[in-house]
Amino acid sequence: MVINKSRYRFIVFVSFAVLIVLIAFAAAIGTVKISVLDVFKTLLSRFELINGSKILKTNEIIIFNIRIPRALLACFIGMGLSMVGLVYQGIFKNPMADPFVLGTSSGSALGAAIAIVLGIEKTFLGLSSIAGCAFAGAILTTFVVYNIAKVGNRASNTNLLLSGVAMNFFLSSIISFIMVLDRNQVEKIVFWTLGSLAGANYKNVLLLMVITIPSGLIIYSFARDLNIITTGEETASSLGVEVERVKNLMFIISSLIVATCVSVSGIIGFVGLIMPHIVKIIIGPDYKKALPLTLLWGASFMVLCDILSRSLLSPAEIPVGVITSFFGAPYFIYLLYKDKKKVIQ
Amino acid sequence: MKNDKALEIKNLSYTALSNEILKNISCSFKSGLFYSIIGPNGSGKTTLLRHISRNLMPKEDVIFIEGKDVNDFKGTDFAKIVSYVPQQIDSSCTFTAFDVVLMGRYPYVKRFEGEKKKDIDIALWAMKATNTFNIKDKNINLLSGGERQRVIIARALAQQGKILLLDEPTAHLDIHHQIEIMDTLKQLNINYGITILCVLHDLNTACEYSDYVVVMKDGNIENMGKPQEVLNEKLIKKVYGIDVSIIKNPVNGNYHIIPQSSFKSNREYNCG
Repeated sequence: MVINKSRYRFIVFVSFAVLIVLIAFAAAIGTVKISVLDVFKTLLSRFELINGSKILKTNEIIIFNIRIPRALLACFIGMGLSMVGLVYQGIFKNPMADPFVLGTSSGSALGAAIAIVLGIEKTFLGLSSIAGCAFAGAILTTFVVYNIAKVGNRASNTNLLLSGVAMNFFLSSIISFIMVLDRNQVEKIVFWTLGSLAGANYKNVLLLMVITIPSGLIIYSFARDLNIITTGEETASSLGVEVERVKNLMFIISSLIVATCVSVSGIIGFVGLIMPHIVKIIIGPDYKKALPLTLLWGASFMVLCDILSRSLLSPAEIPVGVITSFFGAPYFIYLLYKDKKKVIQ
Repeated sequence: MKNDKALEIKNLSYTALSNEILKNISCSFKSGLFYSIIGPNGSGKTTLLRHISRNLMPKEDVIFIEGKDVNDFKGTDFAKIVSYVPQQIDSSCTFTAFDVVLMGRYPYVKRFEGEKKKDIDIALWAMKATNTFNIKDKNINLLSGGERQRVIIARALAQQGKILLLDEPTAHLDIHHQIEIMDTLKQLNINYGITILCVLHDLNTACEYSDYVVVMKDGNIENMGKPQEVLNEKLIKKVYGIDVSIIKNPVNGNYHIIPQSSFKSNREYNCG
């Protein structure tokens, strides 16, 4: 399917509009019901575009201090995780590759769990030590997985996925072990393993913005290199692409994004797997076109899942990781069933 | 330009996991000619090609392109001179044929600039030269094996190199597509003066198309020269261990090699 420029722009525009509407819904839905119209009015009055004298002060506080930061956090986590999924699927030429399968997420979660158990919860420069440990865990896991898989100075994709899966099991068992040892912290650690956006605040949002936006721009500038790498690494290097260097850079960026996401929200599975995959089926494999859409759709999917996690059993909250997996896994199976040929890409 | 040294190899050895795959190979290739590299499986043909294409990085002072050590090239500068057509492209990718050919312009396009009109024109020219223009908007994974191979050759052509390396370009193709691919290569060789180094399995294809054949055995170059001067029953017996009869193509006089089965009484046995 060839999608021309104007049609592509239209799809991007619609996706962006959908994302904005979803964020507005996220701000409207909750134990205190606020109409979507009021949400927009409050937003506009905040920027002094309309007269805000009639806006309820409590609504304003709920929207700006609780719901908007949470929706924005969902937005950036969705972007970050789907961006990593898109990169991994291209580099490993395998639709099963995502930060969860390769152990990057578990590595971050273990790092965070160790920080919690040891009680080192300090913050420097707005970064908590938990985030730092999560990043260390992610980088270390990626490094170990890559080195187990490596033969000579190349890592074959099958080896990489297998060592990722093995590492994932190993790390998960350590996390469970830590939970058994330190029962006082079980609840906090369960939070990491199930994934939740309940801890959202503007500081988290800012942190994720600072990480995901530059990362997205760097990945975009490597779009042509990534396109060529997906057609085969030998060809890529014969065209002058520095394959190993590009891959290493992508691993570092990906680890950074995953660690930041996990340190803020825990392990949220399937976002990195499903969205890039659907985008590529619809828009084609070109990174230049797929990346912007993956970001928008990943964000929308995450915001939608968060709305559901808060409203399905309201006032109780379901961890958002449960919702994403609940959607993600069956949809993936449906895709496999519907078009087996395309999925094996 | 013709008959200048395009490529020179001095004492190339390669050992992988204590197997000596290439044993002190030295040879040189003149520019503008068509070379076929032949030899039995495991004789080191592909490994030799992978060294020339820098997929396996050779040691210093071993391989020279136009007098310059291949180690001294930047990746993209090397890609402007030497292009490589691998045995197979990952057929799972869903790029259009044109997108794939345009990738051949990678060494010429700067990171923060897109492809210019010139690049697009060159990609289209490459597609016309390889007779793939009419399939430019098709998905690469929906093309037949022969079409896909021609698209990859078009991509190599879009690199505008002077040397084209191919690893068994006709493998898995029927005779119609084999002839089509080889004719395309010969045209590129004659019309644009591109030096071609092509690993081939079929001795007769090598005889038909090449100016020179390079015969490899056990990591050595057994012989190198014009097909009619080099190929004979004795050499083929030595290299491949089979008996052959050699006749001449009735149309153009090129050698045609007929392998003989060692199981002579085949037919009688069946009738018996």
